[in-house]
Amino acid sequence: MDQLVTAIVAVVGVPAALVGYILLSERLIQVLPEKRQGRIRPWFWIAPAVLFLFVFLIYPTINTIVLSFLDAQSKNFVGLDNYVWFIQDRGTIEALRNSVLWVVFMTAGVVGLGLLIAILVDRVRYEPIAKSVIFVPLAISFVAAGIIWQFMYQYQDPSRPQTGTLNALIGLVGLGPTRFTQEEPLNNFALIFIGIWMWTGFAMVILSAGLKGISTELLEAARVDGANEWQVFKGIILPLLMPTIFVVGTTIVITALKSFDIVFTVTNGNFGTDVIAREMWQQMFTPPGNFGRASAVAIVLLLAIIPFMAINVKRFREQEAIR
Amino acid sequence: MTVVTKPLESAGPTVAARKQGRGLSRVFLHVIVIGLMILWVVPTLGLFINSFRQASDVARSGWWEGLLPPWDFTLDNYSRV
Repeated sequence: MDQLVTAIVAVVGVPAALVGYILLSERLIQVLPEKRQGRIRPWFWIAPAVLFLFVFLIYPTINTIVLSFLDAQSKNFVGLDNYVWFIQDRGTIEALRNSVLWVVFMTAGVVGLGLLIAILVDRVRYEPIAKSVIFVPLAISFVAAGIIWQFMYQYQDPSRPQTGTLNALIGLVGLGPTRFTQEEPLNNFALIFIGIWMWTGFAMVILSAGLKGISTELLEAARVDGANEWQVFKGIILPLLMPTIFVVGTTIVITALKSFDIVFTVTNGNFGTDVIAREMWQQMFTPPGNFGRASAVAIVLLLAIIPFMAINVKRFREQEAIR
Repeated sequence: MTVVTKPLESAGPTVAARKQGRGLSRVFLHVIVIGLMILWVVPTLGLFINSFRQASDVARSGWWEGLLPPWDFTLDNYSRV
């Protein structure tokens, strides 16, 4: 019953409050001289959005920065100690290295495979089915993907039949079973491949849409002039798709930097597979919990992401300017 | 002038031929696309099939063996959920 009341309040109350706010602010504006009204009205309209942005985005960010200069219980000021710990600790350096691996290989894999699949399925009649199949993993949660791939990577003692799909397959060609999630550096790439498997569908769909936007006359003209398929790809498709590839690429870079769930479910950061985001979780939630260090890791992650965000925003602005 | 006409003559039939598909490369294309589709579907398929098997079977043999007779599928896992 309580839930129902809450739901009704949310559905009716929130729009009512918003409309009320607009009407009330309009009343206030009417008091002002006519000249000023047009100037001041947009500020009233944008105020709620700015307020929400401040409460849910800007304040937490500033708070995290402050916390990163405090100790584990957020009581005493410790200066740069948490950052010094970050660059001296072997665990965090390893996590940083793995995050770089994630960024490089997941981005290359997702964009490369996405582009390849987008171009290949464009030439077959069962394109919708093929695209759906590749896209499905994106709808699966990260945790479920971790479980799905545990069945793929599972390892059994060589004396017993292998239950992991990959170990059974390499057994067919006479190779011994491999501990995919434990052997370094193979395990990092095994984890990154789960990410690639999930996100390739995303890149494929967007790149495929970009591909359809390229006029067929242009491609036909090049072919009539005697260009082979590779030349068509390199000289026409690739340059025209470059802005799309760029947007997809930066999105995947940010996804790779934030990757947490796959590592968390499959290896929990053991066997040298830790990444920045999981390290942050570790500092925060494993007792006794260190707010200062966790915040420092969060700030490092934020600083790593900002350049890519900036590049993306700049690209969007440039495209707007062209329009 | 021959320089101009030559590529035109040779290009004419090839475009048509490409549309019809040059046998071998078409086969190659289908093999790659279907191969990728299988690669993408197998992990999920494995989980799906294992979800219909007894826990003891899942621990003892791979999901593909559940497809071979004797079939021993069960809805136990679902009823428990």
